[in-house]
Amino acid sequence: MDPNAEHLMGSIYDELRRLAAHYMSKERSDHTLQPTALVNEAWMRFSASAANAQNKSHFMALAANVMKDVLIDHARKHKAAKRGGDKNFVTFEDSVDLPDTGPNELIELCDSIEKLRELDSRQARLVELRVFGGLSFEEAAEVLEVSLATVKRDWLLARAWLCRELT
Amino acid sequence: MKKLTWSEVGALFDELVIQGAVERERRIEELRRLNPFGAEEISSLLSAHDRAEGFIEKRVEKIYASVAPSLVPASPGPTLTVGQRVLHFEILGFLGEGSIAKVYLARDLELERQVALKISRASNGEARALAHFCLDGIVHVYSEHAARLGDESLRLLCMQFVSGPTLAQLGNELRGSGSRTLPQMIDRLAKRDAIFDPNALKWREQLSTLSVPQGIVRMGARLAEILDHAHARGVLHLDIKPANILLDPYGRPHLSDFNVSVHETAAEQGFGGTPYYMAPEQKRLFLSKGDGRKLDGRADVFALGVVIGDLLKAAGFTEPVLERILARATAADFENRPSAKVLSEELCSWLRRSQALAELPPLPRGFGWIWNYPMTAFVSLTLFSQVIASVINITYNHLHIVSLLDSAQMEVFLSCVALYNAVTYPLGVAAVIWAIRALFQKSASTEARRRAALRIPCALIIMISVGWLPGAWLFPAIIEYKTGALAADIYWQFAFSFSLAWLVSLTTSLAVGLFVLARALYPRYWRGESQLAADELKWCASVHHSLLFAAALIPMAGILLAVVMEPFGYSLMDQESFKIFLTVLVGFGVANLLLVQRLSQYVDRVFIALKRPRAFD
Repeated sequence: MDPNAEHLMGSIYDELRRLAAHYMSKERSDHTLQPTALVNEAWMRFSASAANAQNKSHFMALAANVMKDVLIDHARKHKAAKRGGDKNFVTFEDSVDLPDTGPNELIELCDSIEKLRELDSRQARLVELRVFGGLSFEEAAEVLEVSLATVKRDWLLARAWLCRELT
Repeated sequence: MKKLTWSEVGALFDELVIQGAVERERRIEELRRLNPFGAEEISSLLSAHDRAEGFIEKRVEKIYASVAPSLVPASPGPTLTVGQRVLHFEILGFLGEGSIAKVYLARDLELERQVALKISRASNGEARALAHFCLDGIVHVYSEHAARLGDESLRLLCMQFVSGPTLAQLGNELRGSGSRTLPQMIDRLAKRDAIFDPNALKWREQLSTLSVPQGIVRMGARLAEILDHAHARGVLHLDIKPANILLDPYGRPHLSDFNVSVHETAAEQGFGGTPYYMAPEQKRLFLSKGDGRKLDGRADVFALGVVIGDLLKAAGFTEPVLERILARATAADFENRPSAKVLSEELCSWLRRSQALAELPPLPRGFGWIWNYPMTAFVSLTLFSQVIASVINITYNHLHIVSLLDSAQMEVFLSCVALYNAVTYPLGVAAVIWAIRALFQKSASTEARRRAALRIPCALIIMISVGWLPGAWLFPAIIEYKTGALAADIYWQFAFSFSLAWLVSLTTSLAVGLFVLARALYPRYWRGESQLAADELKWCASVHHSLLFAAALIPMAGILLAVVMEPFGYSLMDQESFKIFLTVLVGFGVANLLLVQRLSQYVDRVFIALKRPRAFD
């Protein structure tokens, strides 16, 4: 990966972690936690002081990768912690009652996306952009450099395929 | 019979997904005969499609709810308890934490003083960056130590303890502040009692006389001054944000957290910062996309501009001049940004201006619009005084001159009147507008506008004199040139008539013109420099004082008229109208004198407010 993007991803990673921590420390009941909302907020914070909206879709595309990595990373650690592996890792899991299927489901979803990538890499990328980055069809079309109609067609097919795969 | 490729599947899916159930069934049956596997594939995808709406989103939300709690970052430093001892420090309490360190209030047992102890797992350059300074407004660094706690090695930064809240906490407080003053808010938020500092009391006193937005600007100006000191020593802070600005109980801001600060000679590398407050060029460097230009102090100016702007927003305050200052400070291109020193001066000037404007005497009832439409006010009020002068002139001419003229002279006189008015009015208005044209130009700078406004008295005096005085000689001279010899007293009559009109026009126009200048135009385009106001308004003030004398001449002229005209011997009817005219003239003269006197007093009060020196140190 080119060093610029890598550098940026590092900072997005920190920002997303920070935002997630911020939301987690609030009352849980009044928040629907959505990774896409976090990515959006990361963008708002990042762009608030500079009007470079044309970069938004590319920023979000990077952030989608980061978000996916953040989630997988933590799903793995989470599972490791369950087995008593990683002692230093601090989580809230003792204090809040959470369904424990999340990490497995995430890994399942990511595996499915990888399978889809073998069929059609653009559709797999589209799913990542939409799911982890919250990109709109227009933004995804810009990032993938295809028409809006193509993106919408790809999305319907990819979604149907994933739904069949995962249920 | 072979398996369908993915793109074939896609094409069929695209085609069928928009069809109704019957059509889908028909096509799938068709396909089944040719390729049963393909038909099965398409059919299962279509049925998955029918239940796929929102499927992935729900799945991700669920995953996220389970994983997100573990995103909470690990604690940045070890947790110490009250009473615990590390080296020669005794922990007294917890002050706060940042991304890499925790800060505790501690007692230095060797020197018996309270200090802020910043404890982190790794060292950074902060001690060296801060050790440059022994300056009020930058948190002093006393010493740096290495310590071991259990199996952890720690860095201890021993710093000055600033006991008030951070600017971030003040910002939150501002949102629900009601009618509290800044010192009251700071008291509420203060962590500990302050060490008594008589020198700082002046600051607090000053702060409590200011409104909340003014107080914010005052702090902003002080921060810009502190930044200027740091920049002068070549140090850039690069992480200016409310959480890094500490307030002492006197309301004085102190800059802390020089974690990411660099010396300007090293300012071409990427480094940390907080995206929201980061200047675009710093962000570019951060993303390793710099354009080769080094960062300089103006990156800090940008962040400070954002901080001040946010605080004002939290206080619900907007003001156009201040917004322009902050817009320049947060300009995307740093070439367009002021230095910290200039920003500090601009904010101080704004503060002086804002205080001066608050002290201006209120506009008379019904004249509030003058502040918003000063040029309309100026043009309409001065034109109105011309009309009054014209009415007096025409009335006098008809009462005293027309009866002395024969029909041929009369004809010349009337065409003279038409021609003279058709020439002097448009020319006079055009000349004045030309002299102060900057006030009408959108592109003109504030400076140019203020200078143009200051030309008003001079332009009025010249225009009114050139417009009225030549008439005294031109009218009789033209009549004489066209119709032959004219009696000498007609020359005198014209001279008197036009001089009187000139005097009326001059005093009334200047009085209202100076009023609009002083109360609306000048303060609008003035940046708050009291010495500058004192210098620039000196001439206006002296014009204003001579006005009173000129206005007193008008009723005097009426009396003069009564004395001098009596011997000319008019008919009885003329005498009646002459008496009425005289009474009206003297009455108007006295009323005008009163108006000029009132306006003069008012304008004096305005000048005093503008010229009053206001020091911020």
